[in-house]
Amino acid sequence: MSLSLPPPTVGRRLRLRALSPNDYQWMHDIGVAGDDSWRWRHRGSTPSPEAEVNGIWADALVNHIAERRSDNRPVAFLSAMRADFRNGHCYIAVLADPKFVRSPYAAEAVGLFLVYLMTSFPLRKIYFETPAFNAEQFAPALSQLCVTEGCLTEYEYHDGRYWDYIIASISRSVIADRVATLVGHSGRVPADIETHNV
Amino acid sequence: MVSLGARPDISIDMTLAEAGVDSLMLVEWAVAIEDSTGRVLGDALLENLYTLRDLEHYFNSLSNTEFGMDQ
Repeated sequence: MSLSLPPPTVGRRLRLRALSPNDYQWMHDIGVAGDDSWRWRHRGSTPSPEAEVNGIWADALVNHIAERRSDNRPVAFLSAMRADFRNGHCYIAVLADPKFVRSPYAAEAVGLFLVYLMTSFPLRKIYFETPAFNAEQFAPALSQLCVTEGCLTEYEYHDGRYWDYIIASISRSVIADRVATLVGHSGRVPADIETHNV
Repeated sequence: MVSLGARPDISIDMTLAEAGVDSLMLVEWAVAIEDSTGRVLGDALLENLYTLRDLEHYFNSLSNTEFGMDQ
């Protein structure tokens, strides 16, 4: 019988921790009041404080904050939601501090979260949805690691035009083979889900 | 590892966004450097990359401990 290990929450530069009410103000500052708030799910609208918090927890499976190990500075809010264990998938959403979007921290935060999800839950793949104007921020990652499974054309309005809305996924095998190594957990994610009898 | 490929329009003063560099590229580069040198790249270095010139500075300074590398 092999020993079970806790899911990894510590990466090369970051650690994951559960979201707490103390994080709401940081999320509001970035996702509602910040210069880049039009990129987040509210798209520049200002929900009531109650609606803002309810939106965070609606249908959530895991809500984490990725913070730097060196100074505990929050880097990103990561949410897994709409889990479907019958079919082995869920969706994720990411709200990153704009300062870190084009830094190694954002990719490590997402990678560590994906590894956490794949070691904690019997998921085959993880979906995310994004308008095309956000996808350009991580286009190489999208093309290298993900599969675009759907595209709603001219779906979302922003700045004078309608943008496509992309539905993409990343598989357990890609997370096991490539993502886990990047966040310092090579070999930690099973490529296949096995059944172990006691 | 992802790369920029052949881009004739690239100039050294482009921002990372203009050049199409994303976070995955940066973390792959950082991990490759750390794994090959056995050293850890510091936060001060990694959070202040805005242009390709910053990246050039970053790579040229890898042997300089004063530029943010931690043992």
